[in-house]
Amino acid sequence: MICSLVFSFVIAGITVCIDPGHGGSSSGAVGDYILEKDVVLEVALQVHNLLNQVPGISYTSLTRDGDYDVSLQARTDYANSAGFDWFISIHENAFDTTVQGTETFCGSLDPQDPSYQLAFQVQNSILDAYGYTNRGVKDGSYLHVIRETVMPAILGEGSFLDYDVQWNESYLYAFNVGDHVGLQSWAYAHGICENLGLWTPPYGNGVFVIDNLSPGFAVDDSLAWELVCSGAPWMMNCRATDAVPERTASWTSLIQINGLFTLSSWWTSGSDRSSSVCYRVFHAGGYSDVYMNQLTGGAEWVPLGSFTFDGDCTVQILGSQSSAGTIVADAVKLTPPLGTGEYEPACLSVTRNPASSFTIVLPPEASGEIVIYDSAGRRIARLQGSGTVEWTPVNLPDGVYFAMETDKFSSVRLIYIR
Amino acid sequence: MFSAAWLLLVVGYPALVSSGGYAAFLDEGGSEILVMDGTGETVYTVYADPGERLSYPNLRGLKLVFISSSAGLVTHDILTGDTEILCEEHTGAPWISSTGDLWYTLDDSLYRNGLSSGNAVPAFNVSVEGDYASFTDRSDNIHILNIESGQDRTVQGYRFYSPVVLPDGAVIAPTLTGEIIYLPADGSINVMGNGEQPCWSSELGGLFYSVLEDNGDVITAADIWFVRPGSNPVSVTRTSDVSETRPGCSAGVLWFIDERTGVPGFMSIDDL
Repeated sequence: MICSLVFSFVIAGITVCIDPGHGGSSSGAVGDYILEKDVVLEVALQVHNLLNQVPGISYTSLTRDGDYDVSLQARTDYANSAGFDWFISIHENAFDTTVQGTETFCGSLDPQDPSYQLAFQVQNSILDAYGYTNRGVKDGSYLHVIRETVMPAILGEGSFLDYDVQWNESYLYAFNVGDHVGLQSWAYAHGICENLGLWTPPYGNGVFVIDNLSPGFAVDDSLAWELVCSGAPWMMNCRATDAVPERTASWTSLIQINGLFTLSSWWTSGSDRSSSVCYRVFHAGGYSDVYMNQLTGGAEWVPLGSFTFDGDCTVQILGSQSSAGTIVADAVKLTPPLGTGEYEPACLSVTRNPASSFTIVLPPEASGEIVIYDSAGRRIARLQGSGTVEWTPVNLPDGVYFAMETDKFSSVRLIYIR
Repeated sequence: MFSAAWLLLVVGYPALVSSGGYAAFLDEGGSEILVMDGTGETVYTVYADPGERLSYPNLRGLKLVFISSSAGLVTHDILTGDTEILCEEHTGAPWISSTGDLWYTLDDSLYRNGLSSGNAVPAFNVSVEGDYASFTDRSDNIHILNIESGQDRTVQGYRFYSPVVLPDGAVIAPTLTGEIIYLPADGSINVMGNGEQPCWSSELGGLFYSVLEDNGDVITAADIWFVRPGSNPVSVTRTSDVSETRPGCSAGVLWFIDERTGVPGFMSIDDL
């Protein structure tokens, strides 16, 4: 078009409309223990809270924040009239109780389409979280909330709520087994933030990482701590400086950390590195100093040890306690007592069949013996160890297995092999 | 009672806005804006460039304003064909008053002819004469602003969206819980009915609105109703084979869209 420019302004933060499906008289999918409308409201509220923590997202709103009817037209008219940038509709699926999987709908299957790109990221994020069958990103242009919104819109179906073959999906939601609700919520937030190139708030109940670009990271002198390329995956860079007494870097969790966690550190090694870098870990019992040789190793998570935290978690690198050379501060990772994977909750593992070896971290008070039962109550394996036990499932059918402490007979971990 | 004509010109799910004797339709996908007169004839078409998506058309007289995904906020003179980009940024839905003032939102603020009011405004509307404005805030409260005096009336307790300002400063707005609320200048709050997409007819002194049913995925039924303040609502469209939505009224004509097909239609409202 040939035209003239009269006035122009600067754009600000991103706005997101979150749409929990159904509500009120519309229950949506029906599970044995919970209804879809209740699941998606809880997920949406948590996504709302997570996205509100993200710098770069100026405003999020919900089409419903309670259990009441909201028409499809009202949902889209609300979003359109307020001019949101993105529309996220959250649903759960149902079929005949035998199907499980994750699928995400969008308005176009063109890989360049913004709604497809968002759907792709969210789909992958939920797949990472749940490990269910990938039913793909699908054309949802016939769905009202996708068709009638003027902004890029997606509709996620995180899982089949009525699934009741190897486990009962609605039970996982109703009793929040393995933080099933929180896991999906975080997966949505993570997918959205990944798509927008924004920082994702840490997953509260599972493994999370504090990077040198995360909120909560600080150095005593940002000029002295040079920002250097460190390679993937931790945001491509790190801070490095000479190990002189006044140099300090610290990672502080912005959320409450309670209980036993395994703490790991990521760095990049080099011939100029310090051979003894002091990590000071502040925990419930005071602090502990741990020394790492950054001449070697690195480019992977290196355990600093297991520590019990009572709310606050701060890790420092102290130049004053380190030997000469370059000290590198990149990222630290907190792994909860029973977590083993990046997106795994504290008490649920999902793995492919045939499964590789599991490391199960025992609670501090555990006797050191774990028994694995199948869903019929049959004992599959008896495992012993100190602090951790290893389990390699061999020739086992798909299904849910329970790792139990023998002395307490309480479930410590739910393992889903598929 | 009503005469209806069907315009098999646009298939899709367009937006509709009417002004004077004209109505503008946006086709599905935002590739065309069609301007039609009261006889259903297409008098003007604006075509998007390849890859460009048009949205939020608004019409006042022969002046069309809309959002272009590639150009920004655009005005188009139907008489001369002149196009002008007013703002390259991603603004909210624009609106033109009868005085020619252009209103829109940008960066959460309401702008009038390029000047910010400073208010955080997700959604807004302005009276035809441009002397009253209404907008929602981040808490979905509604504000009614007397442009000249600056007096701001705030109504809380509902989740409002898409307010419509009447010439006398009264406001009608739907809520997310399904009511249509009438907020006259006397300060009272009146539920006019349960429905959505309200459209005020100054000619008839009443409100057209749609009543929709859905199954959680798609709309399954839709009809347009009419109500005058203090009276009982009456169904305007009683057809079984058409799902009428998005009422838009202008000079003796009720415009609507068939939800099932996306085809626009209109009917006379002279005898309502």
